[in-house]
Amino acid sequence: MMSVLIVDDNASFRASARRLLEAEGFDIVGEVRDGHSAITAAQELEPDIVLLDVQLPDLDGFEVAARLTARGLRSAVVLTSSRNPADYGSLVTEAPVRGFVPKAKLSGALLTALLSA
Amino acid sequence: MNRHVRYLGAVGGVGAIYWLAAKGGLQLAYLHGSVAALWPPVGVGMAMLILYGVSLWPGIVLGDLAVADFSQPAGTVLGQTIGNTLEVLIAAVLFYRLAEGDIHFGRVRDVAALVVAAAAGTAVSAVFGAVSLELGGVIPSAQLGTVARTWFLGDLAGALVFAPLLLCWAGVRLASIAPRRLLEGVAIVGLIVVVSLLPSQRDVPYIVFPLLIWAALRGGPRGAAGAVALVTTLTVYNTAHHAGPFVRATLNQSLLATQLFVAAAALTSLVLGAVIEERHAALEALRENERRLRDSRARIVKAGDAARRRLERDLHDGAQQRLVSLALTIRLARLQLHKQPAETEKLLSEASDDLQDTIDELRELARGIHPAVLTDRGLGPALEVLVDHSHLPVDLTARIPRRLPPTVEAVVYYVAAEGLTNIAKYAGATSASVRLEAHTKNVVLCVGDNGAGGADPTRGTGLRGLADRVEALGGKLELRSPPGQGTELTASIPYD
Repeated sequence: MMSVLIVDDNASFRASARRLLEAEGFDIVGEVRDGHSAITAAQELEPDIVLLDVQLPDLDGFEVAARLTARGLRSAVVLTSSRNPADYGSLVTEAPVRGFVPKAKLSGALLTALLSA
Repeated sequence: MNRHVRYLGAVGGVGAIYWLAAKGGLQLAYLHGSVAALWPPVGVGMAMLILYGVSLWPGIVLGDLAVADFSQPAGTVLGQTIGNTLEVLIAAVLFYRLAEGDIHFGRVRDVAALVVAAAAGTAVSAVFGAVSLELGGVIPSAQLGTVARTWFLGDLAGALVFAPLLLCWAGVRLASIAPRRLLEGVAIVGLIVVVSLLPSQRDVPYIVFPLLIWAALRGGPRGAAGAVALVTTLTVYNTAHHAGPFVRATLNQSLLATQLFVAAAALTSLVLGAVIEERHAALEALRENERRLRDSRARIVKAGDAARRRLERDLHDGAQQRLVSLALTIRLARLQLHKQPAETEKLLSEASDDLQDTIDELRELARGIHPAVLTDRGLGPALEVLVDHSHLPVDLTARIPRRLPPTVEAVVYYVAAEGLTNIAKYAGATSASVRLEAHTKNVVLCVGDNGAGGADPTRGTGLRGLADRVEALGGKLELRSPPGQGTELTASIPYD
């Protein structure tokens, strides 16, 4: 069973994502709402996947991903947003992340596919 | 120093200066001891009463008596002095009134005011003087008309030349003038002196006009007044010493020729100086207006950007997030459809509720951008909807016989909406009113309340933004908010 840390400041998205991913057999090990908590929680919990919203109240998702990589974290970081990846241009392709999932298209199957790619 | 002593000192000062001006004027006399083509004391006296106060008029009496010819009968001397004092008083007071206190000849109407005031004053003096001389037997009755005319024109010329000179230059410090302009002034003065003394000028008195025009163009009223005083003084002095183009066969012919030249030169120069000043003022007003327009345009663009950013954020944080959650919920429902039908039904019912909320939210957002009822039905119905949505009781009167231009409707609606929002937020009112009246050329909106009043129009950007929008359509926004007496916001917007 794969473990997931959900990072998003929107409570309704965290709840929906948790329900969906749990139904698909993922283990949600934590939920945090901002970038700094995400870095602490990821180091503590060492989840397989960090599902990371791009827009956070303190640091943005790209910055959080860069800091996690710099700290040698082995978790796969997957960015998510209600915007399209194209809205962020090369920021997404150049970020040290496993992939980008538009929020509305989130599913366990997609996460699995990204991880095995 | 005691107030009375100071007053007496000032009266003495005025008298002394008037006396000096008269002594100088006698240097310009065409007949030794009398008959001047240009009589400076009138203009000098006028300027002193305007600058230092009409109450100093006894100084004029003293100065005038000091130069009086006491070989004449006492009544004649007294008559002339009364006339001369009245002349200065009338001219000073009338000019100040007509020019509405603006004594720097910066407007053409001020030059006209000087002509009217000086003519009225000098007419009184000419009548008093000539009649006193005739009654005292100093002149024969036959000369009454000629003497009165010479008197009138000489005094008028003195007023036209010396009042502007002193009023324009009073309080000017040479140090405050830029060195280059000072140099230019010195050059003009030098050229005027050369041209006036040149023998060739004997036949061509108009040779000075280019210099007068130069002075007025570059120096405005000050330049004009200075140059005219110099030119006319030199010309009259030359003529008095039998030189220059105005020396004629008889004394009276010489006088008339000189006086007409002085009047023409003074009027032309002063009017040109005033026009130049008016042009400067207009240009300055135009620049100021342009700056205000640029600022307001920048604020409107900024407000538009801010509104679009807010809209994007509202859409992103609100409706879009709800729709994202819905998508996930529906995906979850599909996943569980066969395994947990009861759970799925609950999820779908939840999703249906969420969808309804989202639709409501989008509708509210769209209404905030531009209410459909405003587009479809116009201001009256739109204001009714607005008032219905208000938390306060609002008394609405809208008199609009027909649809207004869409931009005007939008701004009026926006002012009403913002006005009611502000009342709800800040006024502490228990009721509000919205009155709208469309006239043939403009529409007037009044949003009022019975709250605390004392609203500060400079605080915050809300009111500035409203004013910008109203002014962009050539309208005016006014806020009346006396403490304790409620607040009234009035927008008046013109339309074609």
